[in-house]
Amino acid sequence: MNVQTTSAINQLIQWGKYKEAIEEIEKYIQNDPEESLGYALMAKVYTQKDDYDKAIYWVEEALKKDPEDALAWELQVSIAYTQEKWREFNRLVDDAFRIFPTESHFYYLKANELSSRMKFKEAMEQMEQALRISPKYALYLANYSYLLAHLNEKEGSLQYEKRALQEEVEDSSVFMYLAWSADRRGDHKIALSYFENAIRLNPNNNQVRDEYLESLQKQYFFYRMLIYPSKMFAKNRYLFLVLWLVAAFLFRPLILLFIVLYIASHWLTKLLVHVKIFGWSFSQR
Amino acid sequence: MSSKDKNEKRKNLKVIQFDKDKNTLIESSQPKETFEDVGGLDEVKKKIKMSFILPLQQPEFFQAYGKEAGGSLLLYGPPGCGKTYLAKAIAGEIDANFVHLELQAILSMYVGQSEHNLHDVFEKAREQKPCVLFIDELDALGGNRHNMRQHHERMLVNQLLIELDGLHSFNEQVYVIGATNTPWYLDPALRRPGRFNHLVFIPPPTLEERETILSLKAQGKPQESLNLNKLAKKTNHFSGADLGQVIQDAIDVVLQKSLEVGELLPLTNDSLLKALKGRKPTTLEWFSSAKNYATFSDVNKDYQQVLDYIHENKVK
Repeated sequence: MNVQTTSAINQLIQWGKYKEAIEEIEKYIQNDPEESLGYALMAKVYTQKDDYDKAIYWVEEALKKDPEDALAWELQVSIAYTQEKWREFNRLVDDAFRIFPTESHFYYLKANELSSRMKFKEAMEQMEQALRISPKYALYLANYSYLLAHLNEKEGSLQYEKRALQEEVEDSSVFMYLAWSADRRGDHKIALSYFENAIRLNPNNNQVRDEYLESLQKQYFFYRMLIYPSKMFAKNRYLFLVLWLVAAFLFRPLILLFIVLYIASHWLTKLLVHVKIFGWSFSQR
Repeated sequence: MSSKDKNEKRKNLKVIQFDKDKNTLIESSQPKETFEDVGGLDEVKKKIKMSFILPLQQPEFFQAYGKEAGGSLLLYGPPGCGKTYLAKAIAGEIDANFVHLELQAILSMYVGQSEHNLHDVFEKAREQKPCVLFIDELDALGGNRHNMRQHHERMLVNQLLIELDGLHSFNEQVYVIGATNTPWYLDPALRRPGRFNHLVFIPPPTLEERETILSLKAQGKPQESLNLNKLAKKTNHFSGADLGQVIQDAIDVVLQKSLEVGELLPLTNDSLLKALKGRKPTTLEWFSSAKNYATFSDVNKDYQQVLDYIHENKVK
């Protein structure tokens, strides 16, 4: 492929000029239909447009031309991860480890999948592998800080937080991990400041917005008190369930009162945050 | 200059733009537009006149109050709402030539496909003065340097800053107008005084403007008596380009039917309403993004007027 053409297409994708990028890629595919990269770039455009059905179609076309096209593999694993198709993700990521053993991104995705199932120790092993390949990548350092916070290793978590910030201060994903990490350590004010950075950099991301607004809710002490049991659940779900069942049996009225207070505090803090950010207009969100 | 030449100058706008196939800047002549030709946008035109055109035409008034002429203008808003047309009208209004720097030319600077660099484009504008240098999709050329990993990308933004800073010394009678759909991606340095310090929001057309646009787009086509006011009422938030697409869709259907029956059939109210059913305003996606940036990321309150517009026009 002509290097200038590839650069031009990648530049258009980076600018978010997808219509123009698609036109350039179509011309490229017409000129060089046997080259897998054209199809993979088309998949990249549709992935960025969140049009995963079309992205998968183009990934398959790329892999027909070259079963080991690196971009097509990165995209198909990432799409399975984003769509939370975990069985497919695990099958694909295992193959990706075998074909691309030095590609750190796959270990990072696998670590995230494991931590979403609260398998933090296993997730750490995957992140350590990613960090061996890319030791200064801020996203991985921030992710590692988050995993350490989950394992109550406060000092280590703070150390990796510092390292991540030394490397990168303009990436919303880095700030998101650092915010979760701080939140996990109980540093709610620091968490809020990281969420503020994340939303300043990427206010269009739904997850960033929702988590920022939730972190504002957590600034209210009474709400933090009432969500404390959910933190216990995250730490030891079995012990929590046993305690909950015993409490439900012995103090049923108190449990009902707790549930009512929890729901009331959730909606009250949500209302307070909404007014703070959007004013009294309720058509804003 | 002969009266014929003067007349020619009044009627036509000299446009210089990048030709992708020839990889060079080419000159052409296009009919000149002025603010009179721009339907609606009265508030926008008033703001541009006050902040940009009158200081150039009557500098003594502005100097008396300590206001300097110059600086550059940044037009922003949803796509397809007439930013390029307005820039051409500004050139017509001050009787200047028009250098149009668009995405393909900017792209060629990034990937080294063109011999022309940014300095050449500014030089070309300086040669053609008085001249409006219109940089379309400014976000591509002047994106935030923090987000750029490549050295040459940052260099191009630095070069743009240098060229703009020459505004007082070398750029006399060169008026730079930028346009972007995503002003929040611009490097903050571009917004400092003397650079793109006049920010102008170009909203979607109003009801009356939509009716005018629809009638212009349908002009000269076979048609029955059309109730364009009714159609305009049903196209709230549509951009000018969206309205053009609705008319085009209706024409496609009518043309196909005409070919089937072998005679020219007119555009009807029914055909337009059917075409409208297949289209949604493309501006809504822009407003959704703009709202997020204005709410969460706008430290200087630059986009407050977008939030006000959303609120006043009940954009959902």
